[in-house]
Amino acid sequence: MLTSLLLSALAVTGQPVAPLAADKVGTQLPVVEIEGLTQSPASSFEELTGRLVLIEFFAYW
Amino acid sequence: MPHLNELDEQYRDKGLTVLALTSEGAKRTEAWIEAKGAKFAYAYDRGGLAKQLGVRGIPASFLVGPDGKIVWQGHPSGVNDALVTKHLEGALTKPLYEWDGAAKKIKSAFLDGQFGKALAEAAKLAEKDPFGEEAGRIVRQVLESRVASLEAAIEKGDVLTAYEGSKALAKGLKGLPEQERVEAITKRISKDKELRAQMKAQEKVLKITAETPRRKKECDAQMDALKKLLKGKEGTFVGGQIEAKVLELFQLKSRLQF
Repeated sequence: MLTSLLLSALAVTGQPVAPLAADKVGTQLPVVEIEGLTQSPASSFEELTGRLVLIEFFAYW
Repeated sequence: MPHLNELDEQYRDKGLTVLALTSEGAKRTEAWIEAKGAKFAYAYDRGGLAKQLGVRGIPASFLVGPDGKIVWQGHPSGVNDALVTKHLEGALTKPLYEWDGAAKKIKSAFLDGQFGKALAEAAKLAEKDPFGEEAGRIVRQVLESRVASLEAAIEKGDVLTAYEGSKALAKGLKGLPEQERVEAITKRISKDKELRAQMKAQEKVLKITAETPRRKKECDAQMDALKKLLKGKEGTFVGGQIEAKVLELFQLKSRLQF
């Protein structure tokens, strides 16, 4: 099954394709390790517990 | 990112925290943040949260409820007023970092995982300050969510998460009804040969993939070890984890030069 999964990934695009991102809705957020929390009165992610948190992954490019 | 500034300003006092995460370097990120006029909180994802959440493209957004459960995920363009207001109910309008006086004791116990102590302190505070009730409510909500997620983990076959999570959580549950639920998980795993075998396989996956390969040969070595481990485990949770790792290594190998 694994071989066929890899082969079909190659066949469709000619490139190895990324698996669909697993749907995480309904699951517990994993332990968050962050550094350099800025522009926030919180000193750690844990201090945001109990809030509705909108996390956006971004890059400068 | 102007939408994040707006959301932050509009909903901060109603219980929303906006947090932007990047795995890029600080120098260029700081310059970019300033150029864009971003006022919301941001930080550096050094623990691989994006990877754990299966993020494949940027930008990507996740909305996490007050109990720590992910309630929505998608492209940031999908975040709107309706979505936010739908999930604001129950969120702390007074964040933990603003808890002072007697509430600080609740916060301290809560963040230490001492749920029994946190609830006791909340009950004490509630006798003279209604905030104690809100604090107690949040502690209960988070605790229930964590216990439920461990029970769900073992049901779907993620034995390692269930076992390690239960052992860690049980320490702070003395005297609470949740203690029995959590101890039942570790007891069940300890007595079940098949569950222990699955957990052992999960530990082996972590061991095999502990180092990120830098060469194609290393990718091959890890893939071979994982394929051997997969035998007889197809269709199980750990089997799915192995297959996902092999695919990841296959893609990594294609990007490596040597």
